[in-house]
Amino acid sequence: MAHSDACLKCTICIAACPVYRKDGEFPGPKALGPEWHRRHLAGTGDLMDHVDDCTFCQLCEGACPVGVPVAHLIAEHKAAALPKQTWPMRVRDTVLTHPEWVARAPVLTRATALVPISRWLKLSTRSQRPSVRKAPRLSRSSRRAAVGGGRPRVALFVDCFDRGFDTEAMLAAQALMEVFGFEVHQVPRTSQCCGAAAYASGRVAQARRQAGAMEQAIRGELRGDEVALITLNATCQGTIGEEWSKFLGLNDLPVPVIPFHVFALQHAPAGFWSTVAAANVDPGSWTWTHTTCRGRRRGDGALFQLARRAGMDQVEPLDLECCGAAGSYAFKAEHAETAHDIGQPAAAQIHGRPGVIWVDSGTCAVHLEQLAGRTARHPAYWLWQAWLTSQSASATPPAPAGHGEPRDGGS
Amino acid sequence: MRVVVVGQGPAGLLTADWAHRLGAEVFVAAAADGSLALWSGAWDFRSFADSGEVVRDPWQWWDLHGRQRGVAWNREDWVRWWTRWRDTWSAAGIPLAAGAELPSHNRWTPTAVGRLRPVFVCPAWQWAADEPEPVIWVGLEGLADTPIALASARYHALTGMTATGVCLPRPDAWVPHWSGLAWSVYVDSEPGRQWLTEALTRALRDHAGTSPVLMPQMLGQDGCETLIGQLEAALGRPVREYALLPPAVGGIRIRDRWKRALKRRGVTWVSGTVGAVRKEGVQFRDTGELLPADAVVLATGGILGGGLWLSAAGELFNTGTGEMVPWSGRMEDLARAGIGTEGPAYRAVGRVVGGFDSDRDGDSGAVNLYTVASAMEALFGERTAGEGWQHSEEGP
Repeated sequence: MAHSDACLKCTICIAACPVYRKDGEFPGPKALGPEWHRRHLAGTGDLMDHVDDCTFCQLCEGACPVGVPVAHLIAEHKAAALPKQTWPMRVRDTVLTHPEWVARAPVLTRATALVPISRWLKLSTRSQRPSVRKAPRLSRSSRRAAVGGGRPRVALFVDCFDRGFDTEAMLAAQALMEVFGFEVHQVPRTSQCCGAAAYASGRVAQARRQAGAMEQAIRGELRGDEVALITLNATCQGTIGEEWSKFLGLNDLPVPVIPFHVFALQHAPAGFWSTVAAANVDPGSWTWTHTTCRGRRRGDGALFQLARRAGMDQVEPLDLECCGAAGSYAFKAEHAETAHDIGQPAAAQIHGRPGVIWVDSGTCAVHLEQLAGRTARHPAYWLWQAWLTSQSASATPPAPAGHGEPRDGGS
Repeated sequence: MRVVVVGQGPAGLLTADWAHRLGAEVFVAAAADGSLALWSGAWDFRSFADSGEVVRDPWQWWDLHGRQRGVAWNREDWVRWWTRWRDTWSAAGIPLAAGAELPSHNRWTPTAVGRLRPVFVCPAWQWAADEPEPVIWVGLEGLADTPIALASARYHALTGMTATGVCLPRPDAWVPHWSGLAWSVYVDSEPGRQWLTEALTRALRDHAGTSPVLMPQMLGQDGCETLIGQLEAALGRPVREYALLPPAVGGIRIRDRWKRALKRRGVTWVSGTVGAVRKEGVQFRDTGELLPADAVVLATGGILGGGLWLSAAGELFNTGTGEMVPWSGRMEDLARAGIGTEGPAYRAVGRVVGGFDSDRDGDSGAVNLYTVASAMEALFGERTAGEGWQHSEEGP
């Protein structure tokens, strides 16, 4: 890994770590990453307690002034510590690091409602499980998307969470991009994982295998004329857009990989925004935006701009760098308390005010919904709801300018 | 106007804040966190003369020497901009020690080893006094940065004032690797708050008087002001902090509050290393993506902040543009090296400008203020003179 021994011991990574700021026992990213790694190379790197308490949010890495891959060094440390896991934990992590299996059979999560099973597998009984939000017309929408002609094309990346639990958000994103004037097709067709979950749990070799298989699948399904590959999950976005080439030995995909909300800000025609904003869908209500920790590798504020441009009444970012969910982290019994402590400020901030949360990751949405008691969904879902409202409010909607005619993609 | 600020240290955040108040759409492009987490939050005006002597009246120093150092401001200009800076921090929820008035002269603030250094303004949680006074100097068992016997003895030797050294025994929850930041996390919890209140009350039981209690900088994060209020009520004395080594709790409080306030006002962050600045915007090195801008402000820091890079061959580069920066090649001149206030497609603010030796002279606050205000005047012209700044009602 480039810059793996560049650490200056400046401590900026510690000041960025959400776990360090909640858990007094956690030694912090500097000790678990670059400092451990130096000892490891020298053959004196004993495994440290609490290495598994790292959420792999990568905020440390984003903060480092000299480009040390702090979180990825911690992942190496986790990998070295894997043999210390008890076998129920191994069973659990085998399932949690294969979200593509869960996506094929989301009903599996119901089994964990049985407390003895959860206890045995060291699954948290405290953290809420995702509920399935199946869109009734996904297949129809997919079919309609395929018949457009002469429009610029985008590929919509189907991540494990949305495939298994939230086809509503997937459909909404697809329909919106059709309204923006694009032809949309979904990749990959079969349920696969980009490797994010395995990497976060220190299963680096497994992550490499999963990523390689998915990369092959996506390359095979891209038609070569796509403007971009659009993602709905910040973690998959980071894994495919950055980690694949930097840490997992894969080549960049032949198209730019872009989060849906960034694409919407860049490509939705002005008429779309004015139509949605004119509908005034949430008078007197709040919209809280949360860019997930992994989303912050690209920056922070685009979700806020999206909600504002859509004319939401009162928009406020959540004062959280990370919500604590961190993929499957909050589902593990040993991490649930930290995960809930990290996200708790959201509840205090929202306290007593009506509104909803826009967040660019499915598991973070589940976690924030539990902590804050407000519905949390992907921005594509909210934007689509606003568009539908604007369409029903006006019998003759103003046509969005730009590519082609406006089109209702799904309802 | 769309302004892209490159860098998110104190100069970068101040630029973002003011450009936004002046009506711009603001983007902060940054490759890494800024320097705030390494710094206690004190803003220096001018602390030392060229001879190394302490400057007590920095207003007068700038009156006498400003023009010859290339700073064209008179006293009224300084008052106007210091006042705006103070209002800016106040709106972001960062309280200042000096209260409503700007200080008429430098005050004293302690180091962790019992020295006093001059400071112009610092946040309210940090101890700063017009003149040395008797103090209770508190250290924590298990926090290496608080050598209490040394600090209290040196303070007494240097000032002639009593310094009662008190070391609090460590709590049960203590872990050997705890930094000041980890301590602050602990005292933000209810058990930690109780422990600290009881430990301090017990330690000071036999000490009469109302002299201030100087604590290491670990009195919580967002709950800091509440905790200080509770401790003061319990002890019947002022309670303030002295700065420690990084991770610097004071700077982290400032960073978190300021960034939150800016994000609530709609300032957008874009992560990435800027490798080129062009008339149409900044270009990121890794992705080649262009972030469009009507104006670009480089707040990338000096040689320590990463805005300048010294190659092994002794050549100096502007990391924001990749251009070579002329300098004498003598190491003693490195601190003063910089790119000036203006390039073909950008303005520059803060340490990357060069021409100052802020660590030696203690003028980093003044340099930030002067360079950022000058950039605002260049970008927004007359508007900066008026009262038409959007003063945000939103707090932290």
